[in-house]
Amino acid sequence: MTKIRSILGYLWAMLATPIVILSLATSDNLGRLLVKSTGIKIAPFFTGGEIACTIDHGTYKTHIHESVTFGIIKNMGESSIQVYFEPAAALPEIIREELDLPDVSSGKFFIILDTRTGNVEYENKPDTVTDFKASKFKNGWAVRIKIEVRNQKTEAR
Amino acid sequence: MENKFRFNVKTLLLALPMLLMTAFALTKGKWPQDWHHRMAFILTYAAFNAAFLLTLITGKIDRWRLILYVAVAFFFIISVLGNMNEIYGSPPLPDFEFRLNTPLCPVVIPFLLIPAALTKTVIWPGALTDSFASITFIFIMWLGASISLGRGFCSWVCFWGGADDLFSRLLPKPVIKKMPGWCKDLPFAILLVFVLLSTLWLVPVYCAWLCPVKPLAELPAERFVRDMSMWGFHLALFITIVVILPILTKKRTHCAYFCPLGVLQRSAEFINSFNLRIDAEKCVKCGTCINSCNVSAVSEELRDKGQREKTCTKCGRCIDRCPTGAIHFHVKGTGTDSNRILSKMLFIYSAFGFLAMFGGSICMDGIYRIILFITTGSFSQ
Repeated sequence: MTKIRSILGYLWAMLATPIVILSLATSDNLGRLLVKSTGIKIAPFFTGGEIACTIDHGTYKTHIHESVTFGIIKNMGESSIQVYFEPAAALPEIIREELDLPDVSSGKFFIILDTRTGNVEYENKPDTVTDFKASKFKNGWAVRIKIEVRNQKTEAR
Repeated sequence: MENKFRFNVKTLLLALPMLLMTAFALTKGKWPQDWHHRMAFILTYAAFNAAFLLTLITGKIDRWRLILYVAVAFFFIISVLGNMNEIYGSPPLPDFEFRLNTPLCPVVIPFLLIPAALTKTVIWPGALTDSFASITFIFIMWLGASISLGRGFCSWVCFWGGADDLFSRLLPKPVIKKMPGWCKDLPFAILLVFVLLSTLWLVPVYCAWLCPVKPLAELPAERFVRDMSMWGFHLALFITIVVILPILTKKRTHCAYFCPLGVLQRSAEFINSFNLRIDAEKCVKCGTCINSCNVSAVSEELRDKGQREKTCTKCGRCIDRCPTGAIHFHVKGTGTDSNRILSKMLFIYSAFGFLAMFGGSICMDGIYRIILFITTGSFSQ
């Protein structure tokens, strides 16, 4: 028994170096296989979520993403909607985009993005909208609109 | 003198697998095209293989490991900042939720597992595949390192550990002689609380709020006041936990008493095949191993039983320091009369292999970026 344990111990220890080589050499292929087989994705909190609709302005496009809820328990407090403008080279200095949120009762809601400075302003901001953030990407600008969750699904159209 | 080899054909033959492994890993099978990459490859290849050869010749493990390990930590900072610059256009990163393709840090892995199982999403702003330090690459690398090295990950693979390993060796004697007992439980508490918070919020809360090594790889986005103050908080944590406390206590305080990944690595000890044994017949109870261990893995009680705690990172320092050669690498399942040289060589190949192939790639990229900076004035292409 001791001899068998010893042989198994050495065999397992001898596998350590091949495991090291395999884990580094095959990580790309294994990684792709892992993603394909599990269907795992990056959390929508970071990607902005699926695109709900795209508005074509001719020279540039506006992608409005579906609302993303924070946390594992739905309606935990806040959700956000990402609006993405591309391509960066064709964007006007000031973008004024109308957004239609279902729980808005105070008229049409506009976001105004200054692509020179990244400054975001708004018109007719509904009470549920709590914050804005903008960030420049290689191929465009993204604006995140934070929305307070009030027990109904908030989605941009 | 059983741990030493003389410089002869046998030593060169033992070094040959490492020469081949590092050549393959650093070049990916292709000779570098431009001279910047060629120079970086030659320097890295020479340094790592020289250190391996010296490990074989001198029988000292930790001495050569430490040099490479600290180099990995240093070049990692340059490499990651250079890569961030290429991804985002500048080293200051955009606001957390706007990031994409961010290299995955292994410390955050414990916080991704439950959300990934529950939601089929990874709560990290990185790329899943085909990117620098993509999520799947780091995950598979971590899995391989955990199986082959167990908690040895923390002294041979983790690119954050070099900083507090270095600082813990600056003073000849500790100013603070003993850490409070509760410190050993702190990483468990941090792991538990932040796994729970990350699962509830689906955001890597530890990374965003508590990580003390964050300032090494991230500069604050100047336009966000909140980011600046958060960065300042992380910097204060870094200075306290990774610089001041390791200097004063001569312990790797971040790795031993704070890092939540270290807790996970302890559990990897159950599947890993290597541990350290203390030969009771040879031990003269001088206490050198207890004093020299910078993760507090050896106590008097355990030393007398010939064991060490699962916090042991297998750095080999106690083996180097032991005046009677009583401490040695051991393959689990084998008896006390097992072949020490074989056990040591099996461990050294896997541990050094990981350090040279993974850490070597980091060093090569860091050296490449320094050469690029000297010749072109920029860390990025």
